Amino acid sequence: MYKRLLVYIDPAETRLEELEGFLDLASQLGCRIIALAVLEPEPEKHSAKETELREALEDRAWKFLYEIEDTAFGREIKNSLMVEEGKPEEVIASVVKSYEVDICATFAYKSIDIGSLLNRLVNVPLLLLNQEGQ
Amino acid sequence: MIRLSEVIREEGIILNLKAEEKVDVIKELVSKLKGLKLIEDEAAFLADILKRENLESTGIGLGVAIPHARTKAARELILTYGYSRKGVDFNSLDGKPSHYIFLITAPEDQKTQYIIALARLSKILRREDTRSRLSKVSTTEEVVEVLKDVE
Repeated sequence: MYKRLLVYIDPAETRLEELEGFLDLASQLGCRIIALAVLEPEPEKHSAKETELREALEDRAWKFLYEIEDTAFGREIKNSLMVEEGKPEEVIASVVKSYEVDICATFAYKSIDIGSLLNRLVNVPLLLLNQEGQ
Repeated sequence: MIRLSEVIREEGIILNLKAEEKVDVIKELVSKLKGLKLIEDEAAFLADILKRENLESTGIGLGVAIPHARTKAARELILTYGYSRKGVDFNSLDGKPSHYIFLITAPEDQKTQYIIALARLSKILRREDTRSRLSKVSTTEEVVEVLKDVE
């Protein structure tokens, strides 16, 4: 029924051990997992400290994604990784449309406006997991 | 801390990949690593990379592909690079061909180093400046210099 599960993760608010629930979900649904992290667009003017923090966050995002990928591979779950820039709700909606995503899952992060996201997802269910992956 | 410019095998770099298909490109890159005594069993090494490639798209978009694997056949963390002017279909989500193809492998028990290397490489290759510089290099030494500068 579902072919592509989009999982949005916020690297600033996620711990590695919390991500297993997404893989369980992909496994149960028998679908490909598209793991997405979204970074704020790089401002035109920024201090060295801001650049350093942004790079650390991007580094963390990729590490999370590759951890997901490594575990997914061990469980033979097809997967793709993406890091994009923008507002999370807008990027998620855009990825859903562009890549024919069937279902989305994420945690209720502070960084994301769930109401706004729901308004943008037409006919695509959104699963909100708690930090225990339930 | 891992530095990609120190890990990359300059002798393995191919600035003008001849192969045009994904599997053939990986074979070409692996073939260039022959003789460097980094690989225990070439057939197993290649099989492990291709197994992963069948389950995932290692094309991360923006013309970049990073085929990779943890494998018993690798003696240490290995990073090499090939540039394809024409581009190769690595099933990237953005549908675009890959020009900048980095191959990373590590022994099974070096997961942390392997993830760090993959993350760092993905990060620096998302920058347009890095890709632009890599497209203009004319020697393998320059590839190492670009990595040194951007990481």
